[in-house]
Amino acid sequence: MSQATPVAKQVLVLGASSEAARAVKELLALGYKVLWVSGDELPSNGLDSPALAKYANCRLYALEGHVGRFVSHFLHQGQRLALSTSAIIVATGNERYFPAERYGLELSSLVWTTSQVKEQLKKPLPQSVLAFRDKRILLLLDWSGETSKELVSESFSLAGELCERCRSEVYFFYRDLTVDSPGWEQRTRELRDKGVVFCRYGEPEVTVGEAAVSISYLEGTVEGDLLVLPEAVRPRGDTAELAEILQVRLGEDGYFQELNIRKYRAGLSARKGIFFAGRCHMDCDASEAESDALQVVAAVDALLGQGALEPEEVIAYVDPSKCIRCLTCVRTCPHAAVQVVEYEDMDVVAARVDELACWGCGACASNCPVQAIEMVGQEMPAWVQGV
Amino acid sequence: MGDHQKIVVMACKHSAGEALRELQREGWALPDGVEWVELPCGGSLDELHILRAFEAGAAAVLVLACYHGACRSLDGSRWAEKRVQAIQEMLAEIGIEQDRLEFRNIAPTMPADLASWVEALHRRVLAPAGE
Amino acid sequence: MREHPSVIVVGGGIAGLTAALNLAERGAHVTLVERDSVLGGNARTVCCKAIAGECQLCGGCLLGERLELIVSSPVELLLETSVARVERDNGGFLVYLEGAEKSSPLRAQAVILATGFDHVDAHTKGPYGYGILPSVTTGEEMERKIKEEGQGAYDALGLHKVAFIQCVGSRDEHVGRGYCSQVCCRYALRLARLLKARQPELEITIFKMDIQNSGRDFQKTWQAAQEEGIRIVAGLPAVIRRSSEEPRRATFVYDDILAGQIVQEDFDLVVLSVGMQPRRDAEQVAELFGINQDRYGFFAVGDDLISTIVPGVFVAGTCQAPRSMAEAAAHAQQAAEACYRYLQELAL
Ligand SMILES: Cc1cc2nc3c(=O)[nH]c(=O)nc-3n(C[C@H](O)[C@H](O)[C@H](O)COP(=O)(O)OP(=O)(O)OC[C@H]3O[C@@H](n4cnc5c(N)ncnc54)[C@H](O)[C@@H]3O)c2cc1C
Ligand code: SF4
Ligand code: SF4
Ligand code: SF4
Ligand code: SF4
Repeated sequence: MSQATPVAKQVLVLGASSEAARAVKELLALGYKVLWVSGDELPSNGLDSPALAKYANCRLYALEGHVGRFVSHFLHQGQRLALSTSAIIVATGNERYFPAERYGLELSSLVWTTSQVKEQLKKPLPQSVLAFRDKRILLLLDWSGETSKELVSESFSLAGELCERCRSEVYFFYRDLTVDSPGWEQRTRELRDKGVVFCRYGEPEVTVGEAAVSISYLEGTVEGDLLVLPEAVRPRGDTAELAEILQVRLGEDGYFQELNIRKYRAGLSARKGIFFAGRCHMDCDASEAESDALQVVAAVDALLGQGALEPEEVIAYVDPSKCIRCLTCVRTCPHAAVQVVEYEDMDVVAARVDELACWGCGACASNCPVQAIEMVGQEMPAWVQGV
Repeated sequence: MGDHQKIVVMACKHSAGEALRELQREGWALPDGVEWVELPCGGSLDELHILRAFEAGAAAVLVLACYHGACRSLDGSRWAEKRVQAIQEMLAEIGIEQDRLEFRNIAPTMPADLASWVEALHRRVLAPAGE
Repeated sequence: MREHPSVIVVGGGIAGLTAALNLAERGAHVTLVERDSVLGGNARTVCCKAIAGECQLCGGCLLGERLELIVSSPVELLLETSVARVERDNGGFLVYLEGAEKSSPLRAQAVILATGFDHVDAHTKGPYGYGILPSVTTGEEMERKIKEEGQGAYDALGLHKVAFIQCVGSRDEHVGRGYCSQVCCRYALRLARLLKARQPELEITIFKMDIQNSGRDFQKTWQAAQEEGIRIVAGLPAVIRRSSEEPRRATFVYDDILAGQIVQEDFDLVVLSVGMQPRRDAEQVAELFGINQDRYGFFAVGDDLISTIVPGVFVAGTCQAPRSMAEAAAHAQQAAEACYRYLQELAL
């Protein structure tokens, strides 16, 4: 079996989300060299270190190599840029939008999104508070059928802030009260204590009038001064393209898909050395996304922290002299560990399995039409060989 | 029972293998005549493996792979099921009873089912018919 | 980082195993202390809920791999052992054990508590007749029965109508458990789908207050269940009685809030979806290590949900709050990260 291969403690973090920032910070603290790259602007949150290189407004267009030796190719300010890292953390976050069609409502002075309320509350006093002072605010959750934990959590926070800072009278309309994370049940109770009124609706009827809004539901009709609707989240527009470049799969819902429940370690993708953190792969609020980033860093450090990588006990090996370059193995490998390459010493072009990237699942071997692939390290009874 | 007769279980290490080891920790052992062949993943099952098992005198072959969607290597359990189906069609053509080859999905949390399947197969295939 | 700092992990459930494995992979010397004679904790009785060849992603599979990894890892395993006394020692801890193997105290720079949860005792919900009515069982028993007897454990019992009753012993401030147990909606729904897939003619109703459904993954399961004909009723019964017509059945009256009517119905099997509560000895463990408990009795933590008031003592998994296996594992990995950083700073 092969020796351990030395690897550099160097990681690429993709994305400008708060979970990306958390991962960067944690990696730096563990002594990693970090390359932080985003297609957008990067947050200016004082993260600076000689071990950190930041590249904003950068587009990834190709990825070469495997775990321990990835080379990512970017376009940066019209220049090509190639960065070598041992692992990649994808933390590109998600995208928000207002599902106007599903709500069947236009935004107006009486109909706001949660984000608009949040922005207003961030403005300087007294502007921020006066907009909601002593008003009756109807927060309508779960109506578009598109709730995400992130927006429920934000709606909780907003309701509390409106009660406390603005003395608003907040009605919280819901279909099923969402208590999906540790501590949320307590959060809803605290809101009740602050005066938030919780109303469960079946099929609510929403009316937006000239100066007031109203919601009719199971128990009657409530009139208010402002209707607040949560936005929705969806995968970022570039997720599919990114997945293709990284050769990782997307789930049915269009988000990145972690390897699966079986091997569940934080954000493990099907490809060794590529990890997902936060809202680009899971439904969570901002603080859970940052916790997720920490777990991912723990997983990255478990992989790279000892400075060397070893192959799995069982791995595939292609006999280049038998291979007919049909690409079946390249297509079937679920872990993107095979490529067709030039074997320089033998002067042939054939499939080659990266021994560090290979999980040893054998899908390539059982699909190869000419039996060019052998599973090294797999013990089989003699009769399998026809002996 | 003819002494060349055996049952071959071809089992994914991550589901059936873990279930077997849970059974073994509790003191259960594979019945005599059952040969356990552990695969790194259902995906590595080759049609040839199954045919060779029959050649080598298997009275029955049981293939165990993860539930679809739980396979560590994504499609491995589906590959395994496809291979079994292909061989079953072949067996049908050459007139061998199809129930000599069985495919089942299994999870590591199913030691009880594993034991009962293996025991039932053992009773059906290896135990003498009228006792 | 100091050469091989020592960490003690207390509790060998999914959380303790995960934290121990991560720290060991990163070069720490880890001792795992488990009072039971086997590892795995409560996850050992979680059954598989796959239907028609497809995994329902219940999380049950998470345990097996870890049980195998831990024995081949350098983690030192002490079974049938628990903590008797803890002393502060030069910035670290001196932990005296009682149990099968070791008698000399262990020295460690940090401790991760992963002592898990106890099942809510369904007897405490007296009006539901658990322990008296033969047709009233709990989700825990159903999981265990399927795990022990196999996927078909309920196939031949002649069931026609099954009810699941949610939030039994959870979300009730009056009994000191004003929290959601997080897992019982998920396991109940998946168990219901499992039963329905095996016995399509079975009529299954889930009675709930609210269902925790905000997760986009869970919404799908939820919809699928309804499409398969599982009925969901918003409203819980106050009392469950023996049916007057058929003594082996259970009967109850409920207010179907959304339909706006009061209904009486008989069932062959009533499954109480019991949740989690703090370990009954959580107070003693908290005292040993000098940490606090929250208002419900779970170990109290700072904003990171990991650190306690004692530097060097971290908590992982369901001893902090109810969680599913995947969530407990994720939390434990986060605890391992916090612990590792602590050790690193200690070494400077
Ligand atoms: C009815 C029911 C069904 C469930 N179904 C599912 C499901 O389908 N899917 C899912 O993901 N989750 C499910 N869960 C949740 C799952 O059981 C937990 O998430 C998981 O077991 C928590 O693991 P843990 O390591 O935190 O705690 P535990 O499993 O409780 O492990 C704690 C360990 O610590 C040991 N210990 C305790 N105190 C001490 C001490 N003082 N000294 C030494 N050792 C100690 C215990 O013996 C135990 O081994 C279910 C829970 C319930 C109640
Ligand atoms: S065994 Fe083959 S298919 Fe499986 S990971 Fe390795 S190269 Fe890919
Ligand atoms: S499947 Fe076999 S023949 Fe085809 S490219 Fe791969 S190794 Fe070569
Ligand atoms: S135990 Fe759960 S996660 Fe594993 S295969 Fe069964 S349903 Fe899927
Ligand atoms: S998970 Fe569901 S059943 Fe359990 S306490 Fe929460 S809401 Fe109730």
